[in-house]
Amino acid sequence: MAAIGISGLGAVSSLGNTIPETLESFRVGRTRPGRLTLFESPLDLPVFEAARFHAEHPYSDGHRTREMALHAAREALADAALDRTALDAARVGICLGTTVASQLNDLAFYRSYKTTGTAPLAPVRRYLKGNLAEAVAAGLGVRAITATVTNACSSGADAIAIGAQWIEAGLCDIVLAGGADELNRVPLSGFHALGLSSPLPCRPFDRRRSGLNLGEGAGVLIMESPAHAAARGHAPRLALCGHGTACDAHHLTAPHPEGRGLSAALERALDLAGLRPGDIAFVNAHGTGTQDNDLIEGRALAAVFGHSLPVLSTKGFTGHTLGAAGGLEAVFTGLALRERWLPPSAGFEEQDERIPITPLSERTEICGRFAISTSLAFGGNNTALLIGLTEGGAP
Amino acid sequence: MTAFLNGMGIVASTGRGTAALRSALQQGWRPPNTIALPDGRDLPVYPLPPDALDDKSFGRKIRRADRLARMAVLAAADALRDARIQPDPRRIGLVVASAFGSHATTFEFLDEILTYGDAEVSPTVFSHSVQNAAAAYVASVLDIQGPVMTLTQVHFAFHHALVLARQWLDSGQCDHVLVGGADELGGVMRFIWRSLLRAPADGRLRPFAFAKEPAAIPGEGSAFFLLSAKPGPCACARVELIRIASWVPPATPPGLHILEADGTLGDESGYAAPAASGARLAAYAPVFGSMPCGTPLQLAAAALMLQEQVCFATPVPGDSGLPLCLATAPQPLASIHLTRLHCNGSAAHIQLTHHN
Repeated sequence: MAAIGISGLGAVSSLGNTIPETLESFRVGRTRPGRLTLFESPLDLPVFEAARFHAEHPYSDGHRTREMALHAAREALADAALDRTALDAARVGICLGTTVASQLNDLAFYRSYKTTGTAPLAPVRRYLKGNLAEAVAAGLGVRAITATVTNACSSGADAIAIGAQWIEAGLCDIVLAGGADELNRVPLSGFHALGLSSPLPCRPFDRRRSGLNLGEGAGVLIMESPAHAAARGHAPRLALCGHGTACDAHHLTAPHPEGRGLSAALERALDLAGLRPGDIAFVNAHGTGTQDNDLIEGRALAAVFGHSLPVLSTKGFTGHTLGAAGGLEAVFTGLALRERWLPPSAGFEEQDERIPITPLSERTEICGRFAISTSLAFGGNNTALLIGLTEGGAP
Repeated sequence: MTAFLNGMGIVASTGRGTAALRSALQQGWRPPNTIALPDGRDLPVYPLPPDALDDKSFGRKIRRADRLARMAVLAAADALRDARIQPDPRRIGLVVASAFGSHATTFEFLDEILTYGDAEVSPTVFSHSVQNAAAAYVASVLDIQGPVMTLTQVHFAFHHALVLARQWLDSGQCDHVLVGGADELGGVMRFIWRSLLRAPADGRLRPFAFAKEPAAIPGEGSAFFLLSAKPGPCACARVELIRIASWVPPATPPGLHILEADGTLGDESGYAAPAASGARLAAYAPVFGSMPCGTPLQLAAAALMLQEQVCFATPVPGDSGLPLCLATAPQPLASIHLTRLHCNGSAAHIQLTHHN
C-alpha cells in the first residue's frame, strides 16, 4: 500500500489531556493507578482515571466517552493544522472504536424497568444520539461519513485500519480515526468476574503479573491522502505504512495458543508496507498484564521479530483502555517515533522464562524509522498497525 | 470493482432460509404478532418463529451462544452453504453489522449486577455482552481466519459493512467476505420501541405514506451474504454500487427501486425524492417489520428477485399514485436499487445487478 500520512495526533488518558502532557508523563514515569472515584463500586480495584480531564472538562449527561473523543479529535486537528474551512472543503471520514459507548448499559434505567416495568427514556435518547463517530462529527460540526467499530479491545486499531482503507479506496481525503472509552461499572465487574483484573498495579510481561487494570481515554489520529496533504503544502512527519487484521477463529475470550491470528496480522502489515521484520525499530505491544495475553503475544512477537527487538507495553502507564487502547497506543507509537525515545515498559521487572521477549526496563533511544502497535481482543481479533517516520520527518 | 453475491442465508420473522423468504414475499403482508409488555401495553412485533433457531448441527460450538449470536451463526452458515464454495480460512473475512448489538445480553448482565452484586456476576454473560461476541461465534464455527469486524450503529451499519467487504476484496486481502447484519428484539428493547414509536392501529406499515410521524412495528432477524471477487457456481447478483451520501438519482433507472421506509426514521417525508426517480417502486418492510439495520433483509429480497427473475408485489401499496410493483410476476430484472435514509438527511444506496 502507499503510505498514508498521519498529520496529527491527539490523546486523553491518565497521562494527561494533551500530547505535551502525555509526553511529560512518559518522561517522568507517571505510572501509578489510583482508587476509583468516578462511580460507586464495591470492587476495590486500581484504575487509571483520566483525572485531569475530569477536573478541567466537567461533562454532563453521561457522554464521558464522547467528550474525551472530541477533545482528542480537536487536538489532533490542531496538530494537523486543519481548521473548519479545510474540513468543509474535504471529504472527511470519522471512524472510531469503542466498547462502552456502543452499549445501552445504564444501570439506573434498567433498575427502573426491572422494578416498575417502565423507565425514563432520557438514557435511551442519549444512547440513540450518542453513536460515537456520529457524535464526534456533530460535535466538530463537520459533515462526514461515520462508522463506529465495536471489535472489543482492538476497536481503536481496527478503526484506524478501516480509515486508512477509506483513503486508499478514494472515499475520503481526511479521516479522523482511533478509539475512546470511559471507565464504567459494567466492564469493571465483567473483567473481575473473568478473573482478569489485578488488585495490584498491572505488570505487563512480568513473571509476577496478575491481571489488568482498567483505564480510560481517547486516542485519535488524523490520516490524510497524499494528494490532499500535497495540495495544502503539508508534509506529515508520520505515516501509516501497513496494517493487518486476522482472527484466531478459536475462542470467545482466550487467544489461540500459537498466536495464529497475531502472527498473520503482523505478516500482513509487514507485507503491505513492503518491509521485513528487521526493519522494525520497536513494537508497542498490547501487553495487558494477563497471564494468557502476555504469554501468547510475547511468543508470537519473538517468532516474527526474534528475541532482541525492543518491546514495551504502555498499559502500565494508562491501564487497559479497551476500545481506546488501539487508538491511544497508535498515538504513543507515532509520538515515540517522532521524539526518538521510548519509555520503559512500566511494571516489568522480572523476566518470565516462558516469554521469549524482554520488555524495555529503561528509557531507550530509537534506532530506525518503523514501529508496530499491536492490539488483541475478545473474539480472537488481532490487529497490527505499522507506523513510520516519513522521509521528511526523519531526523 | 464488482463483488459477486455468491450465497445468502436468512433467519427472520419469515422463517429460516430463502424458501421461507420466497414464500413470505409471495404471500405479502401478514399481520404482526402482539406481545403484552410488563407495563400492560401491547406491542405488535415481527419476531422470529419459535423454532427458527433450533439447530443442533453445530453441537457444542454454539451451546452457550446467546440469541443474537445464534441468529448470526445460522444465517452466515447458510450463506456459505448456499454458495457451495470452500474458502481458504485465511482468505475469507467477516463483517457483522448491527443497530443495537448484544443489548439483550447487556441487560442480562445489568440484571446480574443488580441481583448478585458487582463481585458475583457471571463471566459468561459478560463475555457474551461484548458487541463482537456474535462475530466471534461465526468466525469460530466457520473457521474464518481473515479479518473479522463488527460495526454497531443505528444508521447505515450494514452499508459500512458492505463498503469494508468490498475494500477487502478489491485490495486482494480476501477472496471472500461474509457480510451480514443481525438484530434481536429483547424484552427491554420492546419497551423502548413501544415508548418511542407509534404502532399502526391496523398492523400495517405504510412505506409509501412518507409520513412525518410514521408508525413502526419492530422486527428481528439476520441475513448474511457471501461476497467474492469471482463468481461462484451459485452467483446470483453483483454488488455494483454502495454509496453513502445525499440522495443522488441512479444514472440509469433500475428495474426496481426498493425504498427502505420502515417507520424507524422520525420523519419519512424525505423518501418522496427517491420515490420520484421514475423507477418502479417496492418496499418490503411490511413483511419483515421495522429494523434500523434492516437493509440485509431487503437486500436478500432483492437478490432473490434477481436470481429468480421475478418481482414480488409490494406488500402494502397504499394509494400514493406512485409506479409501484403491484403484482408478483416473473419478469426480466437487470438491476435493483435500494435506498435508505438517515435522519440527518444523508442517504445510503446499494445497487445489485443480475448475474447470469
